[in-house]
Amino acid sequence: MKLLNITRCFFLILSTGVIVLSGCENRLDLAPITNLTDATFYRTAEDAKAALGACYGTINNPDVFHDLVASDDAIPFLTGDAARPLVWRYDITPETNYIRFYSGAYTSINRCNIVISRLPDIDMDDQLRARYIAEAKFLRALAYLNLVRFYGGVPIVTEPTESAENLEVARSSAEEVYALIEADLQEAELILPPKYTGGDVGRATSNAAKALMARMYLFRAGTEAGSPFWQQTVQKTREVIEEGSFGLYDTFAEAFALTARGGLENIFEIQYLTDVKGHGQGRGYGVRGAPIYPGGGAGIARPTASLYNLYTEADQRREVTFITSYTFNGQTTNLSITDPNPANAISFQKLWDRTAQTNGGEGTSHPIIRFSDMLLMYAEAQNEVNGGPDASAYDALNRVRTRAGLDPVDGLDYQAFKEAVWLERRLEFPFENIRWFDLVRTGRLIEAVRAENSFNRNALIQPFHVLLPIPQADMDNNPLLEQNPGYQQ
Amino acid sequence: MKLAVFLTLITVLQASADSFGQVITLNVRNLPLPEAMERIQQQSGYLFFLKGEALANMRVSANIRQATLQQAMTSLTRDLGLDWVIRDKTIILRRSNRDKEPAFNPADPFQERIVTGRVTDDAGAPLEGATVTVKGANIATTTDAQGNYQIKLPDGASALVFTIVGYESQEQSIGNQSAIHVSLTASISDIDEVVVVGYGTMKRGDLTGAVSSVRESEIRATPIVALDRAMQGRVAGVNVTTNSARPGGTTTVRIRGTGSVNAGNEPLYVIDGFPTGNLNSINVNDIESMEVLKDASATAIYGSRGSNGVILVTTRRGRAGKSVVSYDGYYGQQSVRRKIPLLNARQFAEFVNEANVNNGAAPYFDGSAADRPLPETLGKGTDWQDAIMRDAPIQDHQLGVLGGSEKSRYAISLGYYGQEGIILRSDFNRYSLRANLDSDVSDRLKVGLSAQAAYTHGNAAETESGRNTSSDNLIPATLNYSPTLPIFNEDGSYNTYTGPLNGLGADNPYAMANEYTNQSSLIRVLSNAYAELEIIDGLKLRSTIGADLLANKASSYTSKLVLAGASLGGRASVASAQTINWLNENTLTYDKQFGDRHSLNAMIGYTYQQSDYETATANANNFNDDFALYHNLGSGSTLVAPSSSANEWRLISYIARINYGFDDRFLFTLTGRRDGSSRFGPNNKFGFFPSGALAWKLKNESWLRDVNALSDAKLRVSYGLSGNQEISNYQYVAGLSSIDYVLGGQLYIGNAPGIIPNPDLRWEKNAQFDVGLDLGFFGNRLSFTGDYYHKTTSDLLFSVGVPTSSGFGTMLQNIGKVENQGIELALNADLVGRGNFKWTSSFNITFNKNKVLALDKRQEFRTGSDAVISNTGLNPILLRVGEPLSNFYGYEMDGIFQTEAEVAASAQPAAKPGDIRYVDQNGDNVINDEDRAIIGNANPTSFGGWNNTFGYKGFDLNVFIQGVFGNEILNYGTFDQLNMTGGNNLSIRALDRWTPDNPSNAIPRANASGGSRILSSFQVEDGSYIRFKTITLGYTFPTAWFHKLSISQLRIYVSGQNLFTITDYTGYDPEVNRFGNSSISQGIDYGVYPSAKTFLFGLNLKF
Repeated sequence: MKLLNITRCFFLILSTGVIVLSGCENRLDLAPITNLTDATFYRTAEDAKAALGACYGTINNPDVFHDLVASDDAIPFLTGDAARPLVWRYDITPETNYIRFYSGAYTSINRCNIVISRLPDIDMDDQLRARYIAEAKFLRALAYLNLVRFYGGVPIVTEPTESAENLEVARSSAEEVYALIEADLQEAELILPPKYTGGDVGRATSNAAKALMARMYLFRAGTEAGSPFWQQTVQKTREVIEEGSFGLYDTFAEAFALTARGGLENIFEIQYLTDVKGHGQGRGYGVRGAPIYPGGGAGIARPTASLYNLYTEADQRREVTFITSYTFNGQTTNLSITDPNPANAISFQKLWDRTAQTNGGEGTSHPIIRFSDMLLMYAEAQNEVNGGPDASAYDALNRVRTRAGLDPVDGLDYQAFKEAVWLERRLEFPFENIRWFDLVRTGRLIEAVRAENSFNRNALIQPFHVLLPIPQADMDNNPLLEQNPGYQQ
Repeated sequence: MKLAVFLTLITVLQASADSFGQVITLNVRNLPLPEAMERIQQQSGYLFFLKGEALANMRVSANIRQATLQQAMTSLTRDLGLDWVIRDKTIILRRSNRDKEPAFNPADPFQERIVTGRVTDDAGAPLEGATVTVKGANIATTTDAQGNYQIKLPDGASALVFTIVGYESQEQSIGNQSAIHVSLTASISDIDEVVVVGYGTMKRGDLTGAVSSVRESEIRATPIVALDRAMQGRVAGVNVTTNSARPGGTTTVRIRGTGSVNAGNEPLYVIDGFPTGNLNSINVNDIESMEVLKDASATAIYGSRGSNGVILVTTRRGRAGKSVVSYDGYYGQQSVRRKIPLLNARQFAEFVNEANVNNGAAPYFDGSAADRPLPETLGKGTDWQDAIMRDAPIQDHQLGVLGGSEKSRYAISLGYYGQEGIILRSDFNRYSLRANLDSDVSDRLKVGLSAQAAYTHGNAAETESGRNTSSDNLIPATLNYSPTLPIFNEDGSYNTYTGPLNGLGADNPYAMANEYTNQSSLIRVLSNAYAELEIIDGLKLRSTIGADLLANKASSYTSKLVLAGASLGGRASVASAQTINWLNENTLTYDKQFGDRHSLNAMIGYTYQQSDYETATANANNFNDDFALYHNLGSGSTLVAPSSSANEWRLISYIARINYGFDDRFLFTLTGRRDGSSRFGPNNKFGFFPSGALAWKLKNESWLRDVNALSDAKLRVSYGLSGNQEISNYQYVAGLSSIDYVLGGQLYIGNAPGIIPNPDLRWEKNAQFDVGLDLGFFGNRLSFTGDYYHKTTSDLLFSVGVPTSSGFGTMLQNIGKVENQGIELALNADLVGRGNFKWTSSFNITFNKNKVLALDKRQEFRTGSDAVISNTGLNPILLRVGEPLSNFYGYEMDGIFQTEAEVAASAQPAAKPGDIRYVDQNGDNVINDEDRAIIGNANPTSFGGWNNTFGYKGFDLNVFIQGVFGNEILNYGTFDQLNMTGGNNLSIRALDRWTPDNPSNAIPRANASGGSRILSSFQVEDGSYIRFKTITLGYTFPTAWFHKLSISQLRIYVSGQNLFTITDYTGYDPEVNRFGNSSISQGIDYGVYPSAKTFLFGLNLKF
């Protein structure tokens, strides 16, 4: 009897278990607990904001490393990773590391494409929707502008990637890419406000769209004397300068202080928050091993003497751009531009946020287009348009010079003025991803790289190096791609 | 054939009648002697005893009528050349060869001295039917159901011999004892041994698949922290590599090669029926046996988790009988196995000067300052390895009791394992408690429980750290820090130096060892309850429900006295995680013999497993004082954003298996499992994994039955599919990643898809063919198992490269194919088993070949970016169709430039004599990425082990040798220790550097501006080694000494681990795998905890 009870009991428990558990194959349909999926997303205005936020989270701004060492501004840390000096020596193949702009740009582009394609189906305020889409188009144009300047014509992708289908896209011509950039920026210019307030400060504005168009036109004008792009550059820079939302701080140092975030000078910038979301560029390019940086300086690259020595004593930009000594625990270390030991090297400090207390937690804004770039672009283009500097060109150049503590210039001819602007650009923009493009567009890259030969650089630069190679992984994965000349095997 | 005689046949029959008929009649013709004796026994009432197979096979003819026993026996044995005597109501037959017998007086056979005792197995369970013989006198008895015996001794009897089939015989001297208890150990290579297979057990002789066992004695032979180490060198086909010798460290286990590129390659561990992991928290001493399932026939029952092999772990359970209390323990000392020989202060100073001069600078050590003395004034300086290393104790204690009644049985144990590391402030401790209970509720219903609770905690030294830099990894810091620097400044503070002798930015190693705290702890409860109901005879329903609960905590603090902490004002972190994993399994098994020839075992089942994981992390920086470590995050003035996450997976499975045996000659196994996993896409959630196997017991064929030397022969063939689901959760769905961004000075969170969704994502498929042969000779004193296998893993779960213009770099797809084929050989021999001296030996070796058959669209590509070390962005691994996995890819070193002329004629015009020359593979006169080639491979071509146990009287000696051959190691340490810059300390090999006077072709010149981390064959070394893994000498005391203390066994031993290693490898240890957790980046060494050699003393005690 007892046995029977036990047996019954056992069956009862077991069958209950089986009933509970069987027929529950839908229990296998698990979705992530911590993250949303696209099945439930893209429904509300908040979703739209977050989707656009992802684009701001990946604003395509190339690592300054390439701009610094592939030009004549800096020398990489030599006794480390062999791949870094390869960029500096122009021993570049499609597999060279540290040139990762290509994939980074498309990550940004895909996220912008999602916003552009998904937002029309979201139930939200029409004006806000139009603005969000215009912001996404601005950010997409920014990414394509970097791509086309680095690689020439690249695949044009304007739809979001949602499956494994149609991932192989052939390269378009540079003209076609520029046409897309221009169209995107024109839409952004029309729709976006000139400036924001409060929590929106830092979003793309009509001024930013104009400024980016100016940058594109200037690059396209190249070395061609009668190019219509000079005039277009003049027009777009003038519009920004005259609109009045942006201007210059009184001192150069203010432009890179924490307080410059969303301020007067950065027409477009990537914002950071100290110790919450930082960029780490101060530590990364800081004095190697120096304990003044949380985690110690990494010394990725150090400035060349040819750059450092260009600054005159009066130039306030020198002490903002470079660190020449530091004090830690009461002990002062003086740095040198020639000492081969990177622990004693004068280093960059333009974006260094001294208030950061976590490794890489530096919160200064990373400028993408500053107002001084408007002035110098205007001066250069106006000089080209008129075959020599007029008063407005001088005024633009001298606004930048006097703010840096230098005397205004005057009485220059066309060529001298052009070179004065180029020099000013070099002094004004180190560490801002401008120098290499300037050298390329003005046709001076090879000469400048060969001239900067300290630390036995012996660069293997060739004319084809004005374009970067399409990364080998993409060549492998996309049979439709053709490699840039000079890099084929 | 002398060995055949080893097979000692002992036949003892019970007395069958109370009264003796003394008159014998026997009329037989050509009857086996034992049968003839049986008839005499029936008539006389005397037992009989004959020894040896030869006697048992004798045949007799007799025509005896109404004779006395005396007359009958004399008549019967006369022609056979046998003698007989009566002793203790037993007739003993033996050959007429008295010379060999020790003296005893047949005229006085009845002595009233009696010895009693109990015979048990080594777990303390009674052995019924064991034979107890008086040595030298043919007097014998057998044990009863409780293992008890009673024997009368003749005069002069010196020792008793205990024997039973399946156990090693044992001899005990008698002395003055009146009670002699013995425990016998199971003998090796017994085909009747029961092995655990998935969801059931089987006789080894009936296996159709490739299953290897690791026995308790092998698990216990070596002091190990976790059970995976027990397989090393002992199981053919299983390659075990300790990733690092860190206390509490992990291993890489590969069964029959590497099959997967991106998914996991580790086998599935099933502990008492519970598929789980986390081996360091399982007490090794609780394990009774481990079975390694290798071929598809054996693993297919684990379906989607079987493709990397399955390891079934069975812990000890109670047995009916007297309770046995046991204590096992050891205590030992570890010391570093090998220090890497480095330059001393004076050699280093000379080197730095030369490197500077070669770079066109002035010597650094020029006597110009206190920290720049002339080299000749320097001595040995600081040996930083000595500064951070120590001799450290290791110990293990286990107290167990097992026993029970017929109805309920128990095994309970308490364990402690404690290891301090050979680096300061590193340790690992484990406290464990296990209770295994079984109860027969009725004849038909059994219930039981396996439960383990464990608490582990340890402190990790800062080795194998994430960034692998000299400032955050203690080992590179130790090897790189200049020997000219002192540990402490004069004021007692740590010396920290950031000058030119520290180009790699190392921190003071001694400070790093002392000022990093990295505590981790785990509380784990693993329990599994079962109920088994025999519904009708042979039909059993078994249901289990269990849970594996883990609570981890990891806390770290970096004090302000080390660089990494100083710049942050102290750095604290606390992370906790919990895993709740539960399992329900229900199986129905039918086991029946039909007639004489057909046997059937069929099983169906349903299982459900679910795992939920949660974690949270909090950090803070900037503390006023280091005092509170990580215990008071709130006192940090910089709070870092906290983080948390969670995930879960589920698995629903239906299983079925049929074993059919015909005539004990043919065995068939069919297995199938249908697995549904939450990890896969809606289009392919379920997968089906079938397998089939056939075994042919050749020995049972009539044409082999009479080949006496061959005692066992079986041929096995199997084929089947298994799967692999070891990828992250949620990979099929486009989960949105969180991307933070700042606008208007505020942090916001944006969302974008993190991956390209793949609704077709499905199982990785592994098809395996196996053919194996099991042979036994001379009563299985010599046994051989050989297997050939061919594994093809297809539909690889592969992070396929996609055009990055999609916005993504990779997408998880089922693409690609990898093949492994190989041969496994295992040999066990009872070489000497007679008399006082014994020698058993087992040997195994495996040859494996691995080949990539297909990748995604590419024929080859570089990978391994997860194996990044300080200041490198290398992709050291090449995947290429037609080549094995784990190829190292880089430049090929072609000696050293000796002259300017050689440089001028080369593709490296910027080089100088003394620099490394690289092979210009494509002959284009430029050395660049295009000139890289395959420069090594991490897969061994073969690996194996050789285990020897010698016994002499109470002594036992075990020598275990293990080796790996034909693999290469990518020694990233060479980037530092032979960079020849003088910016860090160097290997002693730098003394042989190239100079104009020493035209070395192996080590380049000193050059302060060199040191680029160019990956070439210069960093690749042969990783082969042969190691004397364990040497143990033990002594088991005669129980006679302790019988009053009721001790049934007492053994003491001394053991040495890692005493000798034969290898050319220049790093700490050739057994290394820095990135062991990565499927791709195998065989790389950098900043890994050094290995130890260990001496220990141990004790096994049983009551």
